[in-house]
Amino acid sequence: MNNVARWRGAVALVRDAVEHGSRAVQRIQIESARRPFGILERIPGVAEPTRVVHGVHDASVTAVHEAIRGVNVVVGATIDFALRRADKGSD
Amino acid sequence: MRVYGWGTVGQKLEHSLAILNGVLGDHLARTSNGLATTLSFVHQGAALSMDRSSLARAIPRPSRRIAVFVHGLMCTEQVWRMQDGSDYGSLLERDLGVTPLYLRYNSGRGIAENGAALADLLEALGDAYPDVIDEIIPIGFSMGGLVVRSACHTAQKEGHSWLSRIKRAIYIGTPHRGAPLERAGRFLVRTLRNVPDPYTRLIADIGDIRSLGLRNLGDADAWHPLSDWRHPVPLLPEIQHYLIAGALATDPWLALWFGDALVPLSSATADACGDIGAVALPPDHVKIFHAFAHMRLAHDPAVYAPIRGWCEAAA
Repeated sequence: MNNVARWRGAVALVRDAVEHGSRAVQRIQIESARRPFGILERIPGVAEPTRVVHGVHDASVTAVHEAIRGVNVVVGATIDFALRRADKGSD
Repeated sequence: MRVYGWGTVGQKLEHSLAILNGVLGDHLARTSNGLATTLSFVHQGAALSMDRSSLARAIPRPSRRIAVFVHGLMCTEQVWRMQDGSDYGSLLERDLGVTPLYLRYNSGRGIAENGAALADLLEALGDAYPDVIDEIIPIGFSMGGLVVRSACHTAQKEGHSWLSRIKRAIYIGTPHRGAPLERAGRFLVRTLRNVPDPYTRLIADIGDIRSLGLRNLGDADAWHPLSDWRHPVPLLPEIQHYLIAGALATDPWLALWFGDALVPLSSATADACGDIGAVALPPDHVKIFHAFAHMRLAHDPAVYAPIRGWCEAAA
């Protein structure tokens, strides 16, 4: 196994870690917020606006993590491409 | 033959990769990650090609007896190295003229997968070795012993010719009855998963990242179709089996339960000379070292003495 293959492996591993880490944190943030929102959503008067805020919260959390994962894929693919080119150049 | 002599930085990197492979090796292999270790014999830190000329270059004076060293979880062949730079293999070569070969493998893959790969490698070795092979002595440390057992069973199932050359096998600190620490970890993860809290479940998720090889250790899962928690693959009756175990405590009960801190004595000695499957082990096939921690068993001159004795004896 040459060094470039190992570097590419390390990049792939970091990419996997960011992907899985982001999904785990997203799930935690949404699940943690569900409890206080759930309580407020049972109180007459504030229930309706709370539902709206809850929806906005979940959507924004999802959007942030989707963005993180998207950047992760692009950066990972770019580094991988550069490493492959470097490997071909050294042959 | 010595396998060492490469730089310290290289050794540290290889050791770090071995730990990574032990923890995530099944994921690395599944995703064809370049960090995944490929199962091979290594010479001076590099994988040996299974062709006659490469082997002839690496082994200038091949003997007809080979000792195959199989390391444990999260290790490389460096685990065999003693302080003076020698190892059981180089000492066997010096004392008995046995040619040592050191295996390196991805210890995070399932034990059965590594066993099957080792079986294929040994079959290829028979064709590529520069001399006739009269005997192969597998010497497995910790998980390596289970990989050896699994390889023997694969060879029996597939009808490999190398199995007939195995007359004796030596297991050092091998958890024949499984490793309770892994079972405790599994129980802890299951408990955490049942707690209705997202943070606790995250901890359980992190705990569940551990590799298939690590999980297999809990039940000594050397070959799936035959394994259950008490009886993994039975030892083959055609082979003389020798067991070495360590015990940190001198108290017999503590030693039995805690053994060398990772493997209990009852697991490493297959219940103190009891049978594993169909084979009853004579008492002189089991050697227990007191005040020995698990890793020390792989590289201590005192442990070499019985290994030499067993290799010297007519099989």
